[in-house]
Amino acid sequence: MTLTNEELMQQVQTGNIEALGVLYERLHEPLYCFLFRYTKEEQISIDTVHDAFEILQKKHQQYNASLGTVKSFLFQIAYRHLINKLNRRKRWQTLLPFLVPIPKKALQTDDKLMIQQAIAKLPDKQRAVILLAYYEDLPLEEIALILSIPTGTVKSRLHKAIQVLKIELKEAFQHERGF
Amino acid sequence: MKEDFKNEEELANLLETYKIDVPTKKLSVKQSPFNRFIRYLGSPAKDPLEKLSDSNNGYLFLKLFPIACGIFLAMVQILFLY
Repeated sequence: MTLTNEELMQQVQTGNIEALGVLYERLHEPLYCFLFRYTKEEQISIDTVHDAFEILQKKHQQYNASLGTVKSFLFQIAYRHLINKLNRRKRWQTLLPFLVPIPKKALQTDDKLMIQQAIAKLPDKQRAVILLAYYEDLPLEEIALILSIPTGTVKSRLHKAIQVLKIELKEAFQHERGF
Repeated sequence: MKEDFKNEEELANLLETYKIDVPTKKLSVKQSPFNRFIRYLGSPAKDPLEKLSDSNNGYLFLKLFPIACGIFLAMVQILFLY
């Protein structure tokens, strides 16, 4: 019988570290995908995945199943860690602009590039909401928990993000067709 | 919340094209803070003098500035001698 993530987390809390390995196997890919879509940077996403699981291992006792799922707890840890990292980098960037690494650009199909650019152009807060809502298919309450915002704010940001994406992609289509 | 996109078929189709290649090999190895720092030092970064080297005046400045510094240091040394 396959254990749920919450049952595995209970085992981690009772000292079974192997259960954390199983959680890693299940959750590291969706976590990486969310982080990569948010940052478009492979290395920072990989580092954040590793750091998030390390933090989860240290803070496993703080998890409370009545407050949310293990996935949302992990995503919350990863998101906060990532934001701290990016803020630290922004501070260095204002002092020494040339120290920020240039991200590698991979070859992509036109549609994928278009949607990638459209998502990247979204304000940070709207981007996080749409990535969690669409690609992770998380409910409103879990998104609110991960991003530490009220559920009403999640709804309004999602609505705005959809509107902005539609406008951005419509312009991109028209530009491509030469209108 | 994917249901919220039911009325946005075109957008949902486009969002669906954004697939990610997960680097499983790199994800399986955790880098130490030292290795991360070395990797960061070795990563390509912006040229800090790019703006200067793009214009004629900037290029001239880059050529003359070391000479001017050398002359200045030589004069300082001469002043210290006397």
